[in-house]
Amino acid sequence: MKRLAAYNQTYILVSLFLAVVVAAQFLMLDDGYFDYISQLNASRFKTSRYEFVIAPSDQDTVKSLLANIPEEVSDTSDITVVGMTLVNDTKSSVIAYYPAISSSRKIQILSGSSIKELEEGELVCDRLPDSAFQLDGYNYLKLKDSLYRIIGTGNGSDAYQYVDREMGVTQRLYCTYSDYWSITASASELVFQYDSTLSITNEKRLQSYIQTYTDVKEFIRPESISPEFRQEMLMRFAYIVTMLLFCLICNYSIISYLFFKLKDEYQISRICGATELRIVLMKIGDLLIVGALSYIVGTAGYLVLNRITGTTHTSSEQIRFVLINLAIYICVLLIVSGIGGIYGRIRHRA
Amino acid sequence: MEEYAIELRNVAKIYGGRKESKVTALSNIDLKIRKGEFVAICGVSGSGKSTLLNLMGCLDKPTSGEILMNGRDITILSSRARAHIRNRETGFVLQDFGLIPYRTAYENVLIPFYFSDKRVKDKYSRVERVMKQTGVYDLRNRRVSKLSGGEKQRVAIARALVNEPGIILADEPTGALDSKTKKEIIKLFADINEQGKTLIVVTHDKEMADAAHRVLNIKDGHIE
Repeated sequence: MKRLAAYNQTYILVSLFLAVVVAAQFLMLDDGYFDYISQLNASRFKTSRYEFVIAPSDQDTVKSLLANIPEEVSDTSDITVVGMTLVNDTKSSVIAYYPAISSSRKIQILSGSSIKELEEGELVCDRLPDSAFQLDGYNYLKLKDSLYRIIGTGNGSDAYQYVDREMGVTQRLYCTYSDYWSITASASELVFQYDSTLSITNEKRLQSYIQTYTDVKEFIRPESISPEFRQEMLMRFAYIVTMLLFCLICNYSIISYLFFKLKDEYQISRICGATELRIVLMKIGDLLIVGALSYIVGTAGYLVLNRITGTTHTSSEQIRFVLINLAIYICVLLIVSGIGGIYGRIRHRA
Repeated sequence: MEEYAIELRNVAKIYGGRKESKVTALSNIDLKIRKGEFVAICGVSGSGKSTLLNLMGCLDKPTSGEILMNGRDITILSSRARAHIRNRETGFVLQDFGLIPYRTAYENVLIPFYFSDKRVKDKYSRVERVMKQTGVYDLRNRRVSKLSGGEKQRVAIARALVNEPGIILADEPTGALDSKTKKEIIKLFADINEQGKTLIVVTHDKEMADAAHRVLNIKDGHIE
């Protein structure tokens, strides 16, 4: 029993190590996870986004407010108009502007359930991106695997006229970024968001600035962690833990079975006349088998779990996972065999 | 001049590298075992019996001294040459049988041939012969895990004999057997010895020791 317990300890440690390696790979693969983590950390100190709502009864005030944002917070891409309610718009829609998937915040996809007529794959940009290209008189942009037709750019662009026309809007407020906007009609309210990437000093400065120009008394502070964010974090955490447990159990089963079996076989081989070199080669071979099985289990688990949870990874990400997994397994096997060798020597000497 | 199967000259075995952690398992061992002799090595646990057996079986090297097998010093041999001795000149029988449980009895007896440096043409007939000799031929296609303790030990003895070694080394071969099976195994050992094999058995068992020509008692790493 003592011997069995000693083996078990080793197997658990090795299995845990392998399982952690696999889990680490998921983290490496899932770039988004780190974004969540960084958001989570940031939210401990600051909210992710502040909101404030103003009623721009006086257009000049609003213009002035946004035209004179202090230098310290002059990166006005941090301030985005996320919604507006149009006074005379019968549909009273809120047009949401979403930052594009790409890192460039200069590109926004015009979206919103109220704009049904707007075809998918059409983009509105505040300016023409460098990567855009022209074809048949239209500008196109390729983002990831999708091709978007740019239906308009800039202030007073065709895009807004297009939306206006389609929605029957006669009086409208439009903007892309706050430093680049104008009001053509009065709106009942404007909803602004600004990013908490602003430093706290600048954030306070901006708040005080807005208060001097408007009657905003309270800044809406969203929950530090939104319920959606919390739920997604939990889902991802559960995903990682499940994978970790899965690998732990599978690796433990494989390793304990094989090593327990093989340990005696080495001794049997030795007394039957196997050379030391041959035993070393046998061990390397066995380790490769264990590694291969463990690798297959890890990869299969990854694919099955993705299927169950509906997690999607692109083919390039999957290839990356497979290759990273393979490389790590080779390293792990070398390390484990090295540790095993050293441990064996110590035990032998003891 | 008489040639001994095994001769130990002033052999010592010390485990541990550092001075404070050194353990002397054997010291000043002088021993001569004639060819065809049946020797029982007795002693309490930790007295050095198994260490002595491992040294004689080329499983370990002494810290000092010489071990001669058939007149040749085995302590200076290469790892490969020592493996050859384990394969061809000695056969091991262990208390826990040392068999691969998921293989058949036949496959287990074949194992030494996997490690032979020369191709053995009549290996199958040899396996059959030793299995008949040890009384396990009828069990040849059974998995070892399905065999009783006595049957397993017979398979282990067959494996030790299959390469026709001159010396059989056994470490507590009756330790895991009931009294009836033990008697059968002792008889089998006696028969093997009668066929001219040198038999060196580490044992606690009085019956086994009584069957031997000579009994060596080891205490604290010394032969008394």
